[in-house]
Amino acid sequence: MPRASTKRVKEPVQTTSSRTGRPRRRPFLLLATGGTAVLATLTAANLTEWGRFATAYLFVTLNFYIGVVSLVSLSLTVMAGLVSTDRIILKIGHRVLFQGIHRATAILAMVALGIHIAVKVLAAHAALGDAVVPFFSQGRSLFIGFGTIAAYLMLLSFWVGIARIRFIGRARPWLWRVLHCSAYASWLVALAHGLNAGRPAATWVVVSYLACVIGVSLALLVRLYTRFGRYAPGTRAERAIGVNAQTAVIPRFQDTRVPLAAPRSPVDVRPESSQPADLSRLDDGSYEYAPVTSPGYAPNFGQAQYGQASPASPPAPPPPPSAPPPAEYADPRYRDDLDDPAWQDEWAEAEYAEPGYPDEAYRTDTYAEEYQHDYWAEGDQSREVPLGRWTPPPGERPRLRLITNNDAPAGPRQPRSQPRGRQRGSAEDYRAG
Amino acid sequence: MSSAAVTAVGCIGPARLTAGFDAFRRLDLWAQTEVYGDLDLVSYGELVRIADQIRLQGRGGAGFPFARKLTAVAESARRRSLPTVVVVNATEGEPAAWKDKMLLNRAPHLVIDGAALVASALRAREIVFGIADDGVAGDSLLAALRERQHLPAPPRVVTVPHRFLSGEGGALVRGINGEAHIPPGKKVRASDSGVDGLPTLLSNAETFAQLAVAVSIGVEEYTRVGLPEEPGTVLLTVSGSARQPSIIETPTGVPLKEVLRICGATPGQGVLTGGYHGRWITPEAASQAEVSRRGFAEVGGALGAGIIIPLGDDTCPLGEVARVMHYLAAESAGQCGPCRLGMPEMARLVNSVLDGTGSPDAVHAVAGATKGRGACSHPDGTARFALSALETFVEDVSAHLYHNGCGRPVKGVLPIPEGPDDGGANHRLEVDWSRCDGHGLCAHILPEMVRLDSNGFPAFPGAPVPAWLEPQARRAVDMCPALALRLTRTASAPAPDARRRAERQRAAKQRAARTDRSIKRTHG
Repeated sequence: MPRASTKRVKEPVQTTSSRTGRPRRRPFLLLATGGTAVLATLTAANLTEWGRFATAYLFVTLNFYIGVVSLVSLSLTVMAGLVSTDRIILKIGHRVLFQGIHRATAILAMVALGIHIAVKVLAAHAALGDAVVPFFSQGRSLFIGFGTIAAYLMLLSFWVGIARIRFIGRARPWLWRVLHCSAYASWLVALAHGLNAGRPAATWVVVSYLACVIGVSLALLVRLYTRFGRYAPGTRAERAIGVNAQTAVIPRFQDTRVPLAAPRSPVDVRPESSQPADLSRLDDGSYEYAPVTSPGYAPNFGQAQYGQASPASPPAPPPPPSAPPPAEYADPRYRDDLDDPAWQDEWAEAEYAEPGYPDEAYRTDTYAEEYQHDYWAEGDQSREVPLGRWTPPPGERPRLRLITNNDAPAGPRQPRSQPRGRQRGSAEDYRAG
Repeated sequence: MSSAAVTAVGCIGPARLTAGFDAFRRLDLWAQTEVYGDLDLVSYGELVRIADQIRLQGRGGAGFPFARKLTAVAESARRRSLPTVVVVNATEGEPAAWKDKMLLNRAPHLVIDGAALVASALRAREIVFGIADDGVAGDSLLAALRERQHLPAPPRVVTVPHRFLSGEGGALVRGINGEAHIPPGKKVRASDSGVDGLPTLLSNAETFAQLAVAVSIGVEEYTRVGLPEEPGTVLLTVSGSARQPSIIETPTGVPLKEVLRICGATPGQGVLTGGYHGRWITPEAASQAEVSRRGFAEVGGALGAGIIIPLGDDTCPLGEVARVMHYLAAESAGQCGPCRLGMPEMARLVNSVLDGTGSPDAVHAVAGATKGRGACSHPDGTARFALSALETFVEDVSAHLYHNGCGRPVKGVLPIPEGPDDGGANHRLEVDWSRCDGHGLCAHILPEMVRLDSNGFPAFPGAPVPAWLEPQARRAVDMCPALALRLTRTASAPAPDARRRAERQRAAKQRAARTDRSIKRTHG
């Protein structure tokens, strides 16, 4: 972790500052370094014969297959993205997982796309203009232009996905989804390009892509149906909006809510046939999911305990008797840096010899009267302070001194007098004793 | 107390640490010599004898015997043939503590004297002063160090972020070493391996000041004041509902009631002793307690670093406690699972007691689950704080649970830092409820802050997102399918750091350019 810069100039005392957290990662720097390393390796490899052979082999492989990788990744991206919107089958963790797959395959598709374009231009299968403008070259196949269009749509979809946070607030959030749906168009156009622009595709390839297209279309229809069906006016209202018994509550660990039985009136649980047994009817006729309890409140990682009461289970048991309050926390905070139990404070066992002060001097009403007196308003005063077990030496009554020059402006400076004896901390004090 | 307020100082009995304060607003080197005379450095054996005879205990909260610490470091250095390092801990991460800042602002040479004594006795390689980055004590300390041209070891000032855990010994050592400023995962004794792996003596600034006072005035004079088993004076920081928040230097054995009376405070509903890792005591206990470690422990409190916060009668105690619990949960280092997840859970449960839907037993249970599990004792201290509050404010708890609450507002008597010195937490999570559809992905990604209620909609505290959770919070905002979450800057979010730092440096240059350097308008 780098330290902040020290003030060096005209500063006899060295100062540094530290910061929390880890050093910020610089992804751009990493990417640039990685790219340079790859290029350097390729250049160096071309100096030897086997290196040239390997480079050529790599080039030919990329020429044939990197486009396929990009298209397959794009297909997986579209499918994973669509699956991750499901709320009927998937749990929340699954949705997060598919979101992760969606993002990973999207990055892979973009990287493969970049390499694909570069390799095709280098191999003279497409002109440089073809990579920028669709249908640039007159004599080439039509489907290469499709590829350019698909690439632009992919780029748009990718950028919109990365910049998702920017669509909150200022721009309309629905705009994000509209723009991101360019991914579907990009996929179809990319399929047309991929199956026709290069060498003719095998039958099984075409069939599997067709199956994917049909599957995605069906899933899209289901999604549109659920989404627009829910918000359609006049339809029969569902049981609760936004609540899905399987996806609503997935606690990371066991819910530690206390059952409603304590301290309010006990919940009347009537397992009726038309309702699942985990519902309980409250006094006012509404329903509440029965809270979960456990013998202890220990965290129970990974187990979703919602709604799992069996139909014949009795109502939730009352909370366990409260554990006796811990007698004494062992004060680990105050153990400083020594844990050894042998290093106990042996002075704590001193006996108390002096009697305490009389209690009647500190009755509540006397205290209340005394409380009205504002010491600080009267300025500096020396007032006697009633003491406790500290008995001052005879002849001395300790007083309260209120230091009142806290706000005072700087007064006239006292003339500097010669210090008595040696200077404080002079050079002779080194190695004293 | 904010950094803009000047702290009043009072003294009961003979002034030790606050000697000369009524004559000088800040003791520079000349004033220090006028008040205390010259400082004679002593040998190691002599220093250990003095520390032993005055029974000097660490004033940072732990109360570890200083003589033992000295001998441990010396032994470790002798055994391994390594030089030592002296670290002065003046970071004071607790919001309610002010005594170290006051010492550094008004009597910095006292602290430097103590560090010089220890450094010369141990033949230390360097002296490191750890201060927080709130800008309160740095200028005064640097000015004092510039005046001292010859110290037994070269001094170094390290500024650390002003967070609650900054004052923890292991965290400070790691910060000085340039690592992340959080407690180490494995407990390592500083006396064995501290700064740069050397045997390190780390102690609170006030401890060094007390040592310097003892060497200056002698053991007999020092032990004349206070209890026989805990001689000397302590610095108490009284804030809260006191009419005059102040720092009081008092000998041990003085009744706490006197101190509260001087500051214009009644115990009210209860008194917090020992800061946010301490314990609450009832008003009856506060009227019987005497200022000493033993005295506070007898009534169920804790002296700690001398933080006394009386809670008045017009604020809701449970609400204050809940507010502080959320702050403490956000101040977690974020490196241990039981603390990272258990502390927000504890805060939520205290909130549920406040709302009337929870029970103190649940708080006990979660406290039991977090106790002792973690790299440092942050969750233990927080559990102590919460449980003692539930035991002290029994009427308030029952009012909230069985009736419609206590009817009092939460006035914010317990201080919580907000704004630019907030440890970098500038953002709050907010929900656009018209868009939220109860997907629940936010609770999956950010369980430390977001919980789903029984209908599947998220609930999270209104506290700002702590710095170590900000990346996760951004992920949660990004991944919400309905785009319903957002991170908003809080009202007092600071300008970019560079501008503030430049402003501060400019102000410091203006101050230094004045001819009258010694008496500055410093705080405290």
